[in-house]
Amino acid sequence: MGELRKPFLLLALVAVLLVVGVELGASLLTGGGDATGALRTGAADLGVDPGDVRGISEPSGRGTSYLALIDVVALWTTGLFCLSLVLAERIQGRIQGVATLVFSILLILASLVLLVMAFVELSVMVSLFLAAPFGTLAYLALWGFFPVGEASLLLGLILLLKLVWAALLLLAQPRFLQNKGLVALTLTTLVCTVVLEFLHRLVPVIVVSILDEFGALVFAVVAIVWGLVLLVGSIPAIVKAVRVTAALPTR
Amino acid sequence: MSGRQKLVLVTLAVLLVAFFVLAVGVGGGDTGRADSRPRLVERLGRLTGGAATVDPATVRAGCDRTGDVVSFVGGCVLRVGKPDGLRTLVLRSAGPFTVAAPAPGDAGFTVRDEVTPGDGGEAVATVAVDEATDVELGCPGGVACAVTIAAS
Repeated sequence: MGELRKPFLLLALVAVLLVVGVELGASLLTGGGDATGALRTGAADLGVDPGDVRGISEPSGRGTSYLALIDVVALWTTGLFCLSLVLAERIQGRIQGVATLVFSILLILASLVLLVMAFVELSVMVSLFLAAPFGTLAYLALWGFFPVGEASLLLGLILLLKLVWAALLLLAQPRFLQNKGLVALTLTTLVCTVVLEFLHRLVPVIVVSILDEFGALVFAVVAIVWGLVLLVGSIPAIVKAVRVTAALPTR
Repeated sequence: MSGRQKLVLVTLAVLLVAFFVLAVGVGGGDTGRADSRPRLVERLGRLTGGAATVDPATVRAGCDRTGDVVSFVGGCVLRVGKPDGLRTLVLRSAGPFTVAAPAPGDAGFTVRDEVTPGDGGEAVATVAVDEATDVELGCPGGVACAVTIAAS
């Protein structure tokens, strides 16, 4: 029970690395398919002549990529666990607080910027979609044909990898279950993945991009909350490190 | 780890997977109609308060312009300066008018539409612009048109 099983911890790190990698690469893995025919149908619904249409492609969306904002926290936490394998506890104790403080500030800043970007794009999407028929057609051309199936496959893979990550952490050290922060983080990331899939399936395909963007916005807010949790959590570690350093005998 | 804890964890994992599968299953894959307005999107529209619009001052008109109102007979070209990201050019008029503008992004096509006054007695066209663009306005029937480049 007491000993840390290193291979499982290292495998957990690999799993969460894969999660973040897949999420960041989501825009390359989904979308891009031809949607010209679908746009012509949409234009016919609106009674508008789109002229010579070509080059309309499926969007990739932001939702899956924004999940990475939450999962870098999981990656960071797992990384710190792994760091204990190579660094002495005394040294790790000193650098962990400061490193977490820097990481949390960077996470909060990045999430804030991405939150604003998502909000602006969501506003544009919604107002275009509602401004029928001229704005709606422009919306359809840019975001109207979200690849729901491809996104589901990717989210399924991400959910599987996250479950594997959680299981490997428990196999590495069952006492991780007593770490309330880690349990809350695991639940947050798992629930967010399932919620995104629900958002993708809740509405007809032509408006999925809007809900995907809304999901991205929510994930950025969740990431800011986790950034603040890390920020606050890092302060006692820094104070402790400063006290320990100050108590050391000077030469 | 106690047996009870193991049971809770396994149940939680199964529930998550079940919810995911349920989510995949509930979506009928319906494409939807472009002329429908889902209530959820309308609510989001009220929540977000609308998109950033093109500043009328960045629009040059190839016809008579008084303030933000352009007047013309036949046609008029509006030159929109390069915006900072995707913006919407909002055009309002008391009468019908036609609009032709390239779709934003890499779409590579031009949308033409005739806008007619709605229930509020005003014809509104919202044109998406993401780069310096020429927007062609037309006045059907050979009469004079007055179109306002609106700030919202």
